Amino acid sequence: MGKELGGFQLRFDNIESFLWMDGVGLFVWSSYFITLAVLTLNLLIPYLKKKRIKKEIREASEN
Amino acid sequence: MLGWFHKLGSPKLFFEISTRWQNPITALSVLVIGGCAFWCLLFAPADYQQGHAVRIMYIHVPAAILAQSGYIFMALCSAVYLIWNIKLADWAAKSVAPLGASLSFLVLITGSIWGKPTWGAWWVWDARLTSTLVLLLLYLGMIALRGALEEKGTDGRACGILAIVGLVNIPIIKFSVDWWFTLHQPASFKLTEQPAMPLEMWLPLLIMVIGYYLFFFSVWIYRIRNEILIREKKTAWVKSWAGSS
Amino acid sequence: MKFGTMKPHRRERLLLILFVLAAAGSSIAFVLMALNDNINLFYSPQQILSGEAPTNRVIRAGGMVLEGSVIRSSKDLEVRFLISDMKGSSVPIVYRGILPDLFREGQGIISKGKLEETGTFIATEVLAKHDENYMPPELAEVLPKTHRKNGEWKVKE
Repeated sequence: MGKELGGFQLRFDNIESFLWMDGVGLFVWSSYFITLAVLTLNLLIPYLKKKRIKKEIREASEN
Repeated sequence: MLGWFHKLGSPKLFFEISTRWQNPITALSVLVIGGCAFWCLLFAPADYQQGHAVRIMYIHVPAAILAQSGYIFMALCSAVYLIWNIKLADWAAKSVAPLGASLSFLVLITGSIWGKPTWGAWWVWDARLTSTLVLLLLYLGMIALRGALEEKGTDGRACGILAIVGLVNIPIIKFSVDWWFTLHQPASFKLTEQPAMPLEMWLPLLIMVIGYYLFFFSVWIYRIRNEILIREKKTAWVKSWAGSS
Repeated sequence: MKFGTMKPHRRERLLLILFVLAAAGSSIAFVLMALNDNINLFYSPQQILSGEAPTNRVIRAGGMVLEGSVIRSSKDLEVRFLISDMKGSSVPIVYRGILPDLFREGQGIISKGKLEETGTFIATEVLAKHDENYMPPELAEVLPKTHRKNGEWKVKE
C-alpha cells in the first residue's frame, strides 16, 4: 500500500494504479465524472438564468 | 403567533435573507464535496470483496438520500401551499423538481455503473431499482405538468396533489429491500444501529452526505430566487435590484 | 402552529391532504400485497423445493452458494453448485458461462434460468448479491469468519 499522509493511508502506489484501480477504474472514474458534470450543470443553469433575468428586467425598465 | 411563518412567505423578505446565505452555502458545499471526493478516491480503503468499486458508494448513496429527502421536502412545500395558499411555498416546490430529477438520474446511473462490476448486471427489475426509477418519473412528471399547466395557473395545485400522492413511493423505496427479495443489498446506514462498515468508510460517506445536503439547498436557493425574480419583475424592489450592482 | 388554532378552511384542506395520502397509501399497499409474489425478484430454495416455483419457465433463484459444493468442469466453463437458504433447503444449479468476480462459496447469488422437472436449475445468468457490510481487506483477514455478518442469508417470512 501507499505511504501515509498526515495519518491518512494513501491507497495507491502510483498514478497508473490510481487510474486502473485493479480493473474497475473505468467504472469508478466514469461515475465520478458523470456526477461532476451533473452537479456542475445544476449550479450553472440557474446561475446563467439569473444573469439573463437580470438583464431582461434592466432592459425592460430602461425602455 | 404565525407571524414568522407568513413573513417568511414574503418573496421580498426571503430574497433578502437568502442573498446573505447563497454564496457561503454554495462555497461550502463545493469545498466539502470536492475535498471529500479526494478522500473517497485516494484514502478510503477498498472493500474486501468489491475492491475499489466500493468507491462508487460515496457518490451513489448521498445522491439516493438527497433524491428521496428532496422529494419529501418538495411534498411538504406543496402541502404548505395547498393549505395556507402561500405562493412562495409553491415556487419552493417547483424549484426542487429539476434538481431532484437530476439527483435521481445520478442514483440510477451511478448505481448501474456500480452494479456491473459487483453484481454482474447493469440493471435488474427488482423492487429497489424499479421504485427508484418511479421516483425519477415522478420528478419528470412534475416538470412536465408544470409546463403544461403553467399558463392556466393551475400548475401549483396539480403538482401539489401529484407530489403528495407520490409520497407513497418513498417508504416503498426505503423498505423494498426488507419487504421483498431484491438484488440490491439492505441499508448499511441506519439511524438506530451502528453502520455496517468501519469508521474509515462511513465517516467520508457521512461528510459526503452533508456536502450533498448543502449542495441541494444551494441550488434550491438559486432556483427559487430566479422564480421570485420572474414573478415579481414588475415590482419596484426587483427593478431596483436589477438596476443596482 | 397548533392544529386547534388553524382556521377552519385550512384545517379542512389539511384533513383533505391527509385523506388523499391515506387513500393513496392504502390502495398502493393493497396492490403491493396482491402482487407480493411477483415483486420478489427470485424464488428461495425453500420455495423451489415446495413446488411454488414454476418449471420450464424463465425464473430467478437466489441463495447462498453452499461451501464445498462448487464443481468446475475441466473441459468447458460448466459449473455446478448448490444454493441454500441456510435453513436446510438447497437446489442444484448448472451454469455454463462467465461467473461474476464476486462469485465464491458462501456468497449470495441470484441466477436466471429454468427449473427442470428433475429439480435441477439450468442457469443462463448468475449475478452476485453482495450484502450491506463493507470492510477493508486488512480487517476482513483479522476478523474471524463467524464474527462477520457476511455469510448470513436472510430469509423473509
